[in-house]
Amino acid sequence: MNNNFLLLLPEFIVTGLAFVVLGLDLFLPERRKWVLPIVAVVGLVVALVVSLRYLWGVSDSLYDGVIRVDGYALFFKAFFIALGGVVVLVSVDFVRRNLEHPGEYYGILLFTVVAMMLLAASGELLTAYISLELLSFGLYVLVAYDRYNAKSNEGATKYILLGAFSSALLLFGISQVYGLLGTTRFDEISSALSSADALSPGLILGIALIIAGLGFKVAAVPFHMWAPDAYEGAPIPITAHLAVGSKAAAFALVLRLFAEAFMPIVEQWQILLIGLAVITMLLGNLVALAQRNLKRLLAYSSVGQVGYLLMGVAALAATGSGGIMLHLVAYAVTNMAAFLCLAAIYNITGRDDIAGMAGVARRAPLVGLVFAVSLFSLAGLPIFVGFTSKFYLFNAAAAQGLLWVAGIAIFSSLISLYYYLQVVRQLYIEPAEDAAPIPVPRLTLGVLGALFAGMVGLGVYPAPLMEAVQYASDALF
Amino acid sequence: MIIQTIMFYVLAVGTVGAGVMVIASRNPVHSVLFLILAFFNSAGLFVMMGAEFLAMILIIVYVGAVAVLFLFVVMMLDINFAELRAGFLQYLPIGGVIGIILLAELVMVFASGAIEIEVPTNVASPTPPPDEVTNTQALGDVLYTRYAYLFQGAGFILLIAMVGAIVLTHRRRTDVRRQRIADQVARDPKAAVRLTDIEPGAEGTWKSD
Repeated sequence: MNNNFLLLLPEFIVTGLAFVVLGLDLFLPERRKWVLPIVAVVGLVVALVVSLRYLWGVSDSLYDGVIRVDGYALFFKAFFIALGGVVVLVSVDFVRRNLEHPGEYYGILLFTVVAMMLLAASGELLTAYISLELLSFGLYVLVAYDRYNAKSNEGATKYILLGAFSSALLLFGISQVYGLLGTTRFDEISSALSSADALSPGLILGIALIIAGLGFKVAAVPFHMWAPDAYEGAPIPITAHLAVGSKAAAFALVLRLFAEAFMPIVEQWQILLIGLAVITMLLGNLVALAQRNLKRLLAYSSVGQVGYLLMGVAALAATGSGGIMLHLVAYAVTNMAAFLCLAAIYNITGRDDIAGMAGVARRAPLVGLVFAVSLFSLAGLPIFVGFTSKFYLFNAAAAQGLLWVAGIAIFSSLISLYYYLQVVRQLYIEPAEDAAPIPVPRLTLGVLGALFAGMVGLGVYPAPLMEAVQYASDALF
Repeated sequence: MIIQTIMFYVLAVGTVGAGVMVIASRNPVHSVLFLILAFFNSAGLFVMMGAEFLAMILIIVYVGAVAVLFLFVVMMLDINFAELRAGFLQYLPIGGVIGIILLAELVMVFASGAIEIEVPTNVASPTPPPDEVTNTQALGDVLYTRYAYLFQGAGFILLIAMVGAIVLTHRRRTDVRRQRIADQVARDPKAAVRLTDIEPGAEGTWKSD
């Protein structure tokens, strides 16, 4: 076995960066702690450049196929590194105002980025499990980070308990698959499944348990109970990280798992995923109508988005992973913008309920504009990236012959438009209780501008992104 | 052969007996000590089955860390176990029913012969034969080569758990006075001493701070 460890260079860099940040925190006096996020962002940029420079076009594996280095892994690697950088930038102002111990915050955040990168690269069930636990442990700590806030503690407690429960389900499913097929590697599972004449009930139970365990991690509807509380309690940048990063990482695993390992028995799991997708998008969007807190609203809206993504996974056999990956990127850019706006408003007003958004468009015109655009993009209105990606995703489902599922998806998109517009109404029409302008730091404005450009730019001209997605999903099939 | 059989029965009776004593003994410290005895006996059973690595792990991890932790918790926390134990018997009916169901299920599984005790034949990457390679060596062969990432990933998980536990529970104490030499040296009489005129006999004007 010959391992070319240079292929793991991006992971090494980000892990080393996490240790550098943790170590630097010990030696910096309190007033110099602002250096930490800068170090983190610079390191992430280096990791991004290195991974694009050295891993482009590489298709290889390490440790006997346990970790894969291919176009698919590279796509998600670059995506997660960029996402980590944005989360750090979103955190700078928020952490300075609201949280203690910035060093450990950024350190653990970087560890979760490593975990996400490895999750997309894992080519074996146990590797995926360990990466998922690494990600989850980091997120448990980060959700509880606002430790004097009772809601943060409540959310983190629920998240830990249900997370541990879902890990148990997942592990039990993995042990069933290993016990019956004798392997945990995706390609070997695939060949074992295609040569077996009849599926044993134990194997179906194992796959169902794996789907349930991963369903908890992506907060798909019967397993979504932790999400609203954890989202509401977590510090806002971490809510964004949970909503975007951890979800995208779990989907990166789901896509590879179903495309590479479980594809031979597609008829068995497709119906299960369709059922999950339909109830997830309906329930997520309907319950979102009743929310008063904006973080809870975005939580339920992201549950609805998971429904669309699961529909894409169910259509994996015919149309490939392109639509899902496109939607993940679109959803990441859009949601990041929404949460950054919320954080900017919360930093000054201390409000994160929908009524607290009244008149924000007059108090901070730019934030109001980007917020409204991000909500339109989440709803899937044209010229924004949310429209493009939803179009491809729904189109993929229709091409698979799941017309009625696509119909339900369009219907639940219409429901979501209603509650997004409620927020826009508060932003633009309702009078403000306090007309004083909200000061927004320059860094926040810069990041907001970049995300705005992303939402509109990718919506109008998605070709480069489509090419990258195509390159990545070619590695999968 | 006969010695092995005798050893098996000694260890098995020891395990079950110690297990019963864990829940039967009145003193919680004795319970934990019986738990340790049960661990040692089951480690002996593992060695007899040829799983010596599992036996060592059981002793090192469970006896060395977990049971000692239990012992510390039992000794340091002031929990009235007699009170916890009151009304213990009222759960006997439901507990008994669940126990009987579990026992019946186990008997049915083994009686039906539906499970093959032998490892399935369609194992894609079989384990090395136990007669040729000890299982410690078999684990060592793959743990640091093929599964090196899993090993290190588990290490990172522990690191995050440790850092997280400290950062979430650490607090700056305000009720202890630490010596801050720089502050003491920088004190000057103007800031440290305050003179106030107090009317003789007036009430409530003097405040200590």
